[in-house]
Amino acid sequence: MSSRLLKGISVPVLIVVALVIISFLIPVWYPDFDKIMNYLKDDEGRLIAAPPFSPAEMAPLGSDRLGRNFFLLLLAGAKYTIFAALFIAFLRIVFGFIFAVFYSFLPAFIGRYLKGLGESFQYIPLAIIVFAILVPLESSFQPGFLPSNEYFEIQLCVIALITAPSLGIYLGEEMKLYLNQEFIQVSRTMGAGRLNIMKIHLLPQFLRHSIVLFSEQVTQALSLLIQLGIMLMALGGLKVAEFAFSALDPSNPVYFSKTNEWGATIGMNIQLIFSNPLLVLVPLAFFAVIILCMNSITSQLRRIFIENDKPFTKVKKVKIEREKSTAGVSKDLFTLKQ
Amino acid sequence: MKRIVNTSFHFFIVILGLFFLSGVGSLLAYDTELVLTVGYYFHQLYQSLIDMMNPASISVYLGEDDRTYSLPRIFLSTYGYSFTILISSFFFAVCISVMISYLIMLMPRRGYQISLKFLNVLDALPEVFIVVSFQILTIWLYKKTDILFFNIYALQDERTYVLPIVCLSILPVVFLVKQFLFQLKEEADKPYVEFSYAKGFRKTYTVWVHLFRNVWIHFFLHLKPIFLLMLSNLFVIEILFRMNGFMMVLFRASTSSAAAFFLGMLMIFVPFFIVFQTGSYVLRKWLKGGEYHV
Repeated sequence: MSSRLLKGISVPVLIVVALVIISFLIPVWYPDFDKIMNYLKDDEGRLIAAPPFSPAEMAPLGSDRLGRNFFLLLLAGAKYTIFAALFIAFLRIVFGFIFAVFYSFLPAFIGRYLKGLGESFQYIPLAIIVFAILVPLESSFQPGFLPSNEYFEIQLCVIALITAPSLGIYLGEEMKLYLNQEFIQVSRTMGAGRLNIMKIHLLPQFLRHSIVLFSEQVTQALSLLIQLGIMLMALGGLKVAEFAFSALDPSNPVYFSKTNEWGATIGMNIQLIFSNPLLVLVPLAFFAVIILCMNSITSQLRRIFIENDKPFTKVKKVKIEREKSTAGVSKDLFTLKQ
Repeated sequence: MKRIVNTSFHFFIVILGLFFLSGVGSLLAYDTELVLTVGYYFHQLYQSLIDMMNPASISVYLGEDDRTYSLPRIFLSTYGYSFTILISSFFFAVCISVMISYLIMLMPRRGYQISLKFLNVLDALPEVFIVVSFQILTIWLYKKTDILFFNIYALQDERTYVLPIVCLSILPVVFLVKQFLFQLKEEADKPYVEFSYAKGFRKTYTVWVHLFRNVWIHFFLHLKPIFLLMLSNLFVIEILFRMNGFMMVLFRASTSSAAAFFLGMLMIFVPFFIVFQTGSYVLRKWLKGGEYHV
């Protein structure tokens, strides 16, 4: 691992870690960070503003509809979003690995069934499936039977489990390729059992790949959280209160989130997008920053763990094969593929 | 012959998977603790089988005021609209990305690297962010110039095309340009390129005629992930533009009627499957079973 790569990876990691630490410190520094302000007064005691406050009235990013300081709210919510994404990615890898091991050791005809079943997940946006699974719980969450933190845990597990089949099949296919290599066959003929092969060959190889896979999954989990946010399905649930004065007035729902997680913040404020675009754009920008960090971590890790590696990796193999084939092809220079 | 049997077997297995997926809305319940209602789930699947015998009787709720529509009617009226947007933005994305990657290839080394960095940043932007900023930009332009360039919301039966198509094609463009550049870079070191330069052909000519011809093949290999990416982005766009499109119908059906959800998924899966299978067949004939597996 060269120092240049280490430097490349340290900046995005630092940004993410700093966000998490600040997020934990916010409730300590500002104990009343989510205090609801109904109005602002100037020095002489006159009312000067009603929520949502503009950035000029409440530094640095204004407030949401309830008059809470938006910037602090976002920072305080950061830990839930980031940890949720990390946890989802971790669970996905674990479930995916377990699934993949079963898949790669299964006889081929069952494997084909599983592959088809797993492929059916691709043709429908994941957000719709997650939403459909979780919606029945919403009816017990709204009256308060289901506590927010328990809802949060259930949501994390559902989001993680739902991708286990497709991720597992992807990993399983990779494993099958890996298990077909010569040195595995040699160790089989020398009497190694399945468990042995798994322990000695598969696990170390998988662990190295899984680090890269992990940061990819974090990115995917984050974008899923945004999509769920605009569907008003946020981690930890959104409580709805009707703010319309009478049944005849247009519906004016206000949403409350216990965690103030970023996806929830987007969902809460999406109706205000034209009057207060900042309320939607800023959390989205936060998401974008985190995703950018994770992407650059992924590409650095890929360089360290997969591409720099000498034997067994697929990337390398494909490259070598391609070089071989082009050496053959390039005899007839201008008429390729003919 | 074996190939046909395998393909149709695969086709039916995926449909079976979609069928199991359709009842997923009745799998979980909460009653002082989380309950997995497997019995109810299978009952629901059975129920949806009965419902499917008579599709005209299935009704779907749609729109802000939950109006009821019969299934065949709503599918017919929204399907064309959503797929028009999907397909036209796909072709739009392909044209734009070919042009952009061609221009980037012609840039000097420094410009090439800067545009790569820019692409990486764009890649990190969530679809929601892109859509929202386009909407805000349109409103801002409207305020400045008093001309509403595009419709930002689909109201009632009015339909908006331009902005959704543009928004939907941005992420595929980024994805495609990255792919193209990666493959072009790999290709650029090969002897036939040097030979072309040595014969005195210009870079503009060599890249366009010789490099792109060999890169197109990779484009076909990446067709499937692009379409799947666009499908889930189409859903986001339909929510944000308040379009009553096909994905929206699917979304509403997923929580209300398993049978409608299943039929809707079939209407996505079957055309895709046919296109990809014929595509991979044609590609295989074309390459004559060469170095690539489709």
